[in-house]
Amino acid sequence: MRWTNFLLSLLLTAGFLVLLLVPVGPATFPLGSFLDPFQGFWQNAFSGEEKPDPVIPLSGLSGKVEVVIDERDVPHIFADKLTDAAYVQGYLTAKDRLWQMDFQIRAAAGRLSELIGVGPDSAVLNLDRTARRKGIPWAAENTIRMIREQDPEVYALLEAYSNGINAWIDQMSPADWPLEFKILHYRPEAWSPYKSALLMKYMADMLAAGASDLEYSYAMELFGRTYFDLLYPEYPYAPDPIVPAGTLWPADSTMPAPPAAPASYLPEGLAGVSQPFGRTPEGIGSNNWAVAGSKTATGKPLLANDPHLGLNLPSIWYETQVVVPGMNCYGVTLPGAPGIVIGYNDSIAWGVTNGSQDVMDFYTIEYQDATQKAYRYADGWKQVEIRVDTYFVKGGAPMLDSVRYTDIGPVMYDQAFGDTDKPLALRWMAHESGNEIRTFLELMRSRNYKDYEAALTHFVCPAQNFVFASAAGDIALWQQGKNPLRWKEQGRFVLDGSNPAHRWQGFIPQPHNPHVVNPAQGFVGSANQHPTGPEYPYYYTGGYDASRGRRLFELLRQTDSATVEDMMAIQQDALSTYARDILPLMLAELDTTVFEDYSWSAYRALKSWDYRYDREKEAATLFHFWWESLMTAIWQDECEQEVPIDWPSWATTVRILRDSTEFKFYQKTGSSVHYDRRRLVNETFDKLVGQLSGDFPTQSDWNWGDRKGTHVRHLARVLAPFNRMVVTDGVRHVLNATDRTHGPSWRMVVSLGDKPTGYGIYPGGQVGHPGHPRYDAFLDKWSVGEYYQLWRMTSAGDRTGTVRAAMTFQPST
Amino acid sequence: MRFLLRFLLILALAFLLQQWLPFWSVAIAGFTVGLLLSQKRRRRLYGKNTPPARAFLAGLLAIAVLWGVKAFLIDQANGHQLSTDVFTLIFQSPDALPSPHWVMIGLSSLLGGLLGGLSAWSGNQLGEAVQGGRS
Repeated sequence: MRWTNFLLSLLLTAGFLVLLLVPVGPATFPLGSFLDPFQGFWQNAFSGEEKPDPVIPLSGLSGKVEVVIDERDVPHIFADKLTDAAYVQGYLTAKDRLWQMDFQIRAAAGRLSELIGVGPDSAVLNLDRTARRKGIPWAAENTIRMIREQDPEVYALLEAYSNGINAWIDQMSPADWPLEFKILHYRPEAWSPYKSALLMKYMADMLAAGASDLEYSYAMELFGRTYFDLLYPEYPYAPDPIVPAGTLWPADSTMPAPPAAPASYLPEGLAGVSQPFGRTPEGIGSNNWAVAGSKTATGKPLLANDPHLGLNLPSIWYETQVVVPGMNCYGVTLPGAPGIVIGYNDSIAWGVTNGSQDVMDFYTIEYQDATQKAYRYADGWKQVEIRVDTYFVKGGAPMLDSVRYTDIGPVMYDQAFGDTDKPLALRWMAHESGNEIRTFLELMRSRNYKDYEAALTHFVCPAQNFVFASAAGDIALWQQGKNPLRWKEQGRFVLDGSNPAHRWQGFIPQPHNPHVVNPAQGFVGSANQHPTGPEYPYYYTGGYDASRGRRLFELLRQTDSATVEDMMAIQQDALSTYARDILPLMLAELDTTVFEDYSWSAYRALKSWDYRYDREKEAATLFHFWWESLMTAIWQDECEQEVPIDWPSWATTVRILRDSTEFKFYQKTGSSVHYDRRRLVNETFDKLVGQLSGDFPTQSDWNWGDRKGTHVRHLARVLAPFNRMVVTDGVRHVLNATDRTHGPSWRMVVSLGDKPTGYGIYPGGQVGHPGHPRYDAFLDKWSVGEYYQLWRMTSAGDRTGTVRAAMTFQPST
Repeated sequence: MRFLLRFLLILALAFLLQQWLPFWSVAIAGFTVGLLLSQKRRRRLYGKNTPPARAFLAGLLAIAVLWGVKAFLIDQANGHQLSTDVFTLIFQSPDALPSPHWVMIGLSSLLGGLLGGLSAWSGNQLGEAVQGGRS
């Protein structure tokens, strides 16, 4: 009886223990370890008063490294050698951002299904397969091999940074693991230089994976050449290129002749391919500019940059200052790689915007036979290599995927993925082995224009507009990246893998990349618009912005005796050139004789609007809704097809509406009523007015900031409680490009001179832990357009700012 | 007194073990103390068995207090930020309760307590079984 009692109690205890040891029901984590206040999620709830050890021994350091953590949690690292600085930088970045670093490179490597499983409708697994079939891990392997073999300095830096991350990982107990590891229930993994290379490819995928090849091919077939050119023009209606229009490109003996276009540029038989291709997510873009001393109050240049990216927590950026003998650089890094991407030192400042070229091309592949071991090329056949990818899917058996690699690149879509009988191989600039980290390293220690120009030459992909200003007074902007040499319209449409003329014909020589140095206008700038006017001797294509650049140059032309505050005001500018160009015409088309009360309210609000997307303005909401409904009325019926077709851009729609009272696409498909501009404008306005109610316009829920709603989302989208919501000015196509989920991810203004002063802010916090009080520390200030003065310390003993903690890292064995 | 001793011993041993071992170490604490303080000595002192319910209760209270207090202290220092967000994550309801942090503290306390109670009861029963076998 007593033994029976014991066995019963033991059974109950063991049963309960098992319930606590394994994830139950929908939970991703075991309840016991998660709720345990000694090791579970409670250990990730910080008071914010935690102090790091003042002395930290690290094996592998060659000398002492002093670190100051300031009140905003920015580490200021003082070392004798750059590798020691990188070591400590890795350690400290991991301390604040380890989960993010791990997650980002798992996304790039196609390993998310290891953590999450295949997902609903295999969405997560498909994401992983997309990453791998694009060749991201393959390209990262090639890149890190190239760096290891050809650039010992950068490789040593990557190794030191990696060792620093691993030193942090090794000293953690499971209680210290970042919260997301505990929720998703997996353990941190060791870092390696390869993972830093993966991060660079992750950025290339974010910024240089825009391609409409298939969409354009279908549109060309469907609409014909005349309408295709009208709907998808290469240049917008009011181009204001980065390199001032009319800049002469001198004839140069090294200039390759543009290749001849082949007779046919559309491969046959695309039908059946319905996979929408990789796109740059909308809202990705950026502004940067530099103003020469002749136009500033101090007589020295000013430089500004605000890259617009997905608004995530933890933020994509991490502020850091790195000081070694001969170099003192402050700026933002990408957690996972050691270089400062945007920043300034004693002598220069630099920043980046996305180049936005299309460097991603698809080629149809015709296999020799069912074994798919060779494909047609010219009059013969070429062999393909097969790479077998293994997916260790959580909660399932490992999945194998055989991917064929041609000499073009990997076959991304075929019957096994994308369900197409017409296999498509991918040629992508991110496949090239670039040494982008060397560019950042050399920029960090640049002293003048020459250094900057030399630093850029290592940068391959994603092509960026590197703006530059020096204390010596130079300003410059190079669009830097490796760019394919193409015949006219090559790469706009799907290419033919069997035709030698369809291959990339080489690369645009480095000195011929678009650039402008100390122009007469006294400023340089970029906002993802076309880099050059049509006089540029090489063909390129891409997804260029047609609005922000115009507004930027308009403001910079007006600027005189510019101050830091003027630069900030430009970053906050929310004026829509599209609204300014088209709204007066839309209002003039309205038939006011049929107006009712709300019509007049809306009409008056729009009439008196200053075209600014400010948070408190109802008119911005009215225009935005009206415009979107007008776009839908014009394009939806023609562009919603069985196959993917791009909607024409805002800029194109503005131009067509402005120029044409009658247009084929105005007609509503299937309607017997004739649609012209006037009917479209009036019908959509009526629809808008129909949505108004109550005591409009005094009711506040039509103000733009609330209607838009800006979400700063946790990087793992499923962890919604760690998202934050803010109310902001701006919209995608204005300089303050703060949209719903994208926006200025780092606003920086630097005033150059004997002692440079920098200002900056990003929508997040240095400490990336959701349980930390400073997780979203900068968010409120960011949302109202305020800045922090950046504290670029002069020495480790500098106490002109507020110190949160001082640490010494010492070599140990 | 004996109840208090049992309660304190489980609490102290669990606290000690948890410095190094995962959460299941509280079961070791409950079980060990339950076993050691089972009826052998008790019968000598009092001449009667410890009711299993008292062993269970001591273990339950010990770990519930240990986990509850620990979670409470962390939560106070954190201003309820994380407990509120984790509540939302688990229960998928953002504004369900005025003080969701109490639910999280209570949940931790309850689950830890149950494990402590069950293991203390098991230990106690083993002691009784061993003892009973000999007598």
